[in-house]
Amino acid sequence: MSQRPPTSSRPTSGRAPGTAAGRQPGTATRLTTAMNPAAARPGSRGGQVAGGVALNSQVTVVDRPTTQQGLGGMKTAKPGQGRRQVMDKTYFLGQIRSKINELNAEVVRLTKEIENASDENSSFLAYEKRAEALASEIRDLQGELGDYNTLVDKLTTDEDIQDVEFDCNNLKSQNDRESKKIEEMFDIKKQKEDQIQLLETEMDQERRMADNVVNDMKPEMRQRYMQLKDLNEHLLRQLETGQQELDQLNTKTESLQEELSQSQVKQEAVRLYDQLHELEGKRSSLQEEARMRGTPAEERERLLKQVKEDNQEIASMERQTKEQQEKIDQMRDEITQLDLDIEENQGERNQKYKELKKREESMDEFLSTFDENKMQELTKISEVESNVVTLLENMSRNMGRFTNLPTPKDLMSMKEDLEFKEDEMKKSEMTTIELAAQRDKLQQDLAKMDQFEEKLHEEQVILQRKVADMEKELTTYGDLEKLRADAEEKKKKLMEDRVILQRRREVFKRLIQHLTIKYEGLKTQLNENETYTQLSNLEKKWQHHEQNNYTMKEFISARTMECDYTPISRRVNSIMDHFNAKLQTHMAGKTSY
Amino acid sequence: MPTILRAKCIVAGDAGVGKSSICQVFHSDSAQFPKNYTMTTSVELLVKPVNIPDSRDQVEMYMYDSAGKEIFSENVIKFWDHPSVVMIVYDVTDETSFSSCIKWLERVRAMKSQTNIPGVLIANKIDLDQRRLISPKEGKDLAMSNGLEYFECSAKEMQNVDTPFFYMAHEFHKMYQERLQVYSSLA
Amino acid sequence: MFDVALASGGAQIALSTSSDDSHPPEHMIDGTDETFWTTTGLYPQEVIVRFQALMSINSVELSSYDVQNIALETSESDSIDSFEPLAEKEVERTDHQLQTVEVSVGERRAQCLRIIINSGYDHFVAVHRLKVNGKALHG
Repeated sequence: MSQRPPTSSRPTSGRAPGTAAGRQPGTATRLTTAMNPAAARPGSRGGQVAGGVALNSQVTVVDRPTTQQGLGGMKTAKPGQGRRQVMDKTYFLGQIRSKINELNAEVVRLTKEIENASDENSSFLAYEKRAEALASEIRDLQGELGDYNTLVDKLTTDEDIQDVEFDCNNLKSQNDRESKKIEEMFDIKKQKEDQIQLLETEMDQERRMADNVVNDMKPEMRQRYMQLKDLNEHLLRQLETGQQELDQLNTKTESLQEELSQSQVKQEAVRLYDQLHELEGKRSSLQEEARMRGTPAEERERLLKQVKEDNQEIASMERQTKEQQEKIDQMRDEITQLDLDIEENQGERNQKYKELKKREESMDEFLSTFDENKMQELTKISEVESNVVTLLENMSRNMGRFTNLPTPKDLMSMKEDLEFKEDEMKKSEMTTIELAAQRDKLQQDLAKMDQFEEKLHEEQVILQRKVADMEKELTTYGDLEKLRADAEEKKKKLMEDRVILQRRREVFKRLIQHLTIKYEGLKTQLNENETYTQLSNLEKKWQHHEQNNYTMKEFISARTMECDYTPISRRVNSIMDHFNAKLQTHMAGKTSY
Repeated sequence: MPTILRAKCIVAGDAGVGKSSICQVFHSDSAQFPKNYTMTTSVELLVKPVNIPDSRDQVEMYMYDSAGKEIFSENVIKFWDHPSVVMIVYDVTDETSFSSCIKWLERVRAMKSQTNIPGVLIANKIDLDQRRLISPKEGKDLAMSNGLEYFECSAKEMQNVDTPFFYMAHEFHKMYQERLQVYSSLA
Repeated sequence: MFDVALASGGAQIALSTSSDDSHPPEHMIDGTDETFWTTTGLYPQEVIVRFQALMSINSVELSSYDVQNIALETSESDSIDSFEPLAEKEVERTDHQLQTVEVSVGERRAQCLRIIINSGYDHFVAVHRLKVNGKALHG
């Protein structure tokens, strides 16, 4: 069986040449026409594929496949692709059999699907129940979780258990109150229901009474009553139907209005109809006027009458308005007068009120500061009392001493003695100072003496050594001959050395010359070498660059050092640790229950 | 007559740590400090005699100020045969220069592996205190674990630049004296 | 055949790259192992010994310490330019013992002998004795 072409795409057999891409730009254009109704034109929008994929090839897209003969219709699969050419009975039988097989297969498939669906349904019910059970479990657990969370919060915020119990009690009392409220509401509701019941029973009773009355009425009255009742019902029904019609018509008008608002033509038509209406109305009015018009005189009279009537009306209305205005003014005057009176009274009272208020404020202030002042005054009093006590004690002591006071003569003598003794004391003080200074001096002298002694000792030792050396030298210098011989020897040796060294120097010089010549030769050779000059130039350039590099690096590191926050952060952290430790110790000391 | 010893002192370290500055400051007796960075290509030779205290002898320090850039390392190694003393320099504000010290030391010691080459480890640029990343303790530990003596200096401030050279000269002189003892005992 | 590099035989040190007064290069040519010449650091070091007269030398012997590589050159005249290489030798290290370096040469005419110490096992090197076997050339 040939493939059924997928519903969303074009068949590939009718493709026009040039679509090399193997994609289906036809669909693309279709999509774009759906998306931009204003701008899309099949063929020109081939470049704007909805997916944003760029079309590389120059595609001339056509919507309808064309053959050489012009537009062709949708081509189904050509015959000759596996079908028989001769169509006779056996062919059709074969076809029918194949179709029957297909149908059977479809039937089987559908039954299987039905079974699956039913299974799934049943399982779905089971799953739903499980889901419900799990949801309820989840709700319970969430409630528990909430409880635990609150517990953890309470623990982390170090709340006392008393606070927690307090909160708990609060919540309980709140709950009780609310349950009570609910009960009350429930009671109220019950009451209302009872009331409703009562009313209903009363209503029934009244109806029965009415029926009784009706039954007791005379037959004529009853007939009229019945007639009226029927008429009432009839009218009610008419009312209902009329209402329904009205509703219908309303909905219809609404829908028509909507239609109208959507289509402009109809709006135009409506407008024109309205205009027509107006004009017809005008026309009819004008026609009436034309009919009603009499002679010009009659018209004038009529108009005059109308004018007079209108004037009269105007005059009466003006009078009325004036009266009303006067009334309004009067009322306003009265209001202002009353206000003034009130204010006068209020004024006096207001002042009194303000005074009283001020006094109250001062009294409050006084009361608040009263305690402090009282404490201060009390402390002052106690201090003063203690002062007084001490002074009294002093006085009493001095009074006691009065008895031992000497006579004035004795006093004078005692004063003289005192002065004398003071002088003596001063003198002795000065002598002590002087003696101390002398003592220091003498001690220093003693120390210096000690040093001198040491130095003398050392000098003595040195001198003794010198004496020994000198004695030795004496012996050596005594032996002049030996000295001379030694000197001669030394001189000879030095001369020899000199000769040797001179010769060596010569040799050295020659060697150095030899080496320098070699070195100079090498140097010139090197300088002549182009590669060397190039290299040295490049090296110089490199040195220059390296210098720049280095200064940059130094600059960068200096700057980064400025922005370096690590020491500050370290300091901050250490201070924080300090502070936390102190807090901990403080808290540990505080909580003791 | 005073004896003049000659010591070949190889100054090695990463590029830009301050080897040329140290050598020039020492050579000019703290007279001049090169303010601009001039990259050393290959090796610069500077000679300066150092007096040994308590003796009339002098040690001429032949300072082979070597280039620090890796590109020149092959070239520079050619100048490094028979080193007498070694000076490894690193920059206290640059951690890579500190970690390459061992590399330089090994390279120098490989030139003469049979003998012990006395050496010093120099921590340069100590004037950049805020940028200092390597503590003296680390430097001292590295020096001690590699048989070097640790010195800190600032070529820019011309501070403590002479001390390592004096130490090296002294060590060299000491070695010479020891050798003389050995030679005397052979006869 | 005798040791032509003896100071008592008229040999002189024409040039020495290291000179310590207490251990001058003359100690090499004094014929005894007790005194020695020491280098004062750095390599290469060299000593030029000048014989009394033009000699024909057969072998060179050195008693030294801590020498690693030694090279010998000879020159028939006093001038520096005419030194010709004679031999080069690697010497083994001996701890606490003198090294003896022997170089046989065949017949070589020489007025000056140049000893170049290219490298040593330590910073310094000592040469205790230098012995050059040869005979004087007459004419």
